[in-house]
Amino acid sequence: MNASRKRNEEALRANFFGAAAVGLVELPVTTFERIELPERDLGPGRVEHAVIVDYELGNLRSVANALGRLGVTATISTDPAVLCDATALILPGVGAFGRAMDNLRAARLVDVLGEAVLERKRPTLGICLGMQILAESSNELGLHRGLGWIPGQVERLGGFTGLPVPHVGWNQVTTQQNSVLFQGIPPAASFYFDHSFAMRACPSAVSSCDYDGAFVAAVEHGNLMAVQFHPEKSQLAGQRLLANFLAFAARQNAG
Amino acid sequence: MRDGIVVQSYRFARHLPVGCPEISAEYLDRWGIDEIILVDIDASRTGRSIDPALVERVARRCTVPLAAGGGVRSAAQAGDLLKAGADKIVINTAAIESPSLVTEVAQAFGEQCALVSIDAQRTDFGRVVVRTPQVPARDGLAPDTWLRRMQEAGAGEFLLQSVDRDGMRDGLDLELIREMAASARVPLIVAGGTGHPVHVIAALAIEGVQAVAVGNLLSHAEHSVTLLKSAIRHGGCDVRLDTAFDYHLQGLAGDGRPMRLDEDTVTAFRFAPRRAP
Repeated sequence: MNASRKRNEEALRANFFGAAAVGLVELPVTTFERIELPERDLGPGRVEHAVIVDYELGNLRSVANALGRLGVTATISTDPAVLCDATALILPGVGAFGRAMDNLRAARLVDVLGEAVLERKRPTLGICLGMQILAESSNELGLHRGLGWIPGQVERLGGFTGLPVPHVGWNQVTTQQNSVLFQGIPPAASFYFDHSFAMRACPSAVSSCDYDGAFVAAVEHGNLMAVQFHPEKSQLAGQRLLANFLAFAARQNAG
Repeated sequence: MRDGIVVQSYRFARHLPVGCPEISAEYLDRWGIDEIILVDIDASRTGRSIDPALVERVARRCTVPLAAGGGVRSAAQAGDLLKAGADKIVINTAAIESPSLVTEVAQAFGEQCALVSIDAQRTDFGRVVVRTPQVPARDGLAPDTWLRRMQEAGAGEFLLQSVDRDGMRDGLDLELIREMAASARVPLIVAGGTGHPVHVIAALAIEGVQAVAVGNLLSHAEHSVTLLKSAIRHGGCDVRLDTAFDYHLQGLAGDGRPMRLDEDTVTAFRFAPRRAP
């Protein structure tokens, strides 16, 4: 080992922890608000089964596992009857926008989802690409029309400060008060993102994130909610968000 | 992982057993890890590939992203791993033999799924080369040339490992990292040599480095992840730490471990006098 490098490193360690090592320094006390999972709603309308829409794009198994951890059995389906009667509907998605819309059209899911979400008002959560397709359009690999159920356009991230795209990793979100999804989640919570495109603005936005400029992290639009990050991959904060969505679904089904 | 057992690695040559991947993953997850990379390091060499059933068992316990790899040679295999619950596919040897594999995986499943792993080794002549079993070190490709080629092929993320620093706990190869970070236009994860929180802080300080992957240091120590993150935060680096326990009120010693309480205090805890009933 290089002798001078060893000396430098020892000096670094001594300065880094030196004072702490002799117990002289007080570590900065940061209060971490705890994320706790709410009591499972066992009243009428409680959600025991959720339906994950399968349009051949997305980490369906991860989402199913995450719901399983919250005591909810997930059915992965394209069956119109199943989707329209779902107590809670999840629209996952990883991949390209154009392909997603093509797959939905090929599986004749656009009308089915329209009925389930817009007519029957099934509580619905879109995740990542599943959020993007709810928008009016996206310019990913050409201009594509989305479902248009949420106002706004999806655009490519980046191009301003040279940060690498895709936006991959944990990042903090800023959330409005009184949102359904973020109940009980501390203000500066982090979630896991993995995307190259996002909505810059939306009237139904309840949360935003900053990566080379602000973009919409979550929307709430009546029975239709969506998040750009992956709650099924965001440890406690993500679990709490999913639990909040399920509690919302339980209330909708009971009332 | 070798033979289905998580191992500690020393210069890619010696390996010591840790335990079941399912249990390792569960502990890391509960202790607040940001992401887990699971690679079967024997698979390529023995002509096999990582078992999707194993990935499924590990993914079930993961509430964070899981990258899986080891002998992945086709987009179909990548698809099986994704269906089993992996979020990203790690590709190394197969890409060297057939760079179009990365393009296939990126096009089929999205660029963010294609995580290309590059093992860098210093030769006797001081050059750094991409370590690969097929090519002798003398004739090896320069890592940043390879990185750029893989980037063009569609890699969405890179894992850069230093073979020489692996397991030595002497710090990461910052010079190598700086060179590679300059060429990377997609996220870069670096690994090899973490022995102390200062090593992680030094690596994260390099522009273009998105993450540090830590191996040996996280084994055989209770709350290893939480302690490491707590120390990193104490060093001024803003990493996520939202586990229920976080050591923020506890002093940390020079080695990054919790400070030991003095004997009298410990004795008082253990043998507190009982109150008379």
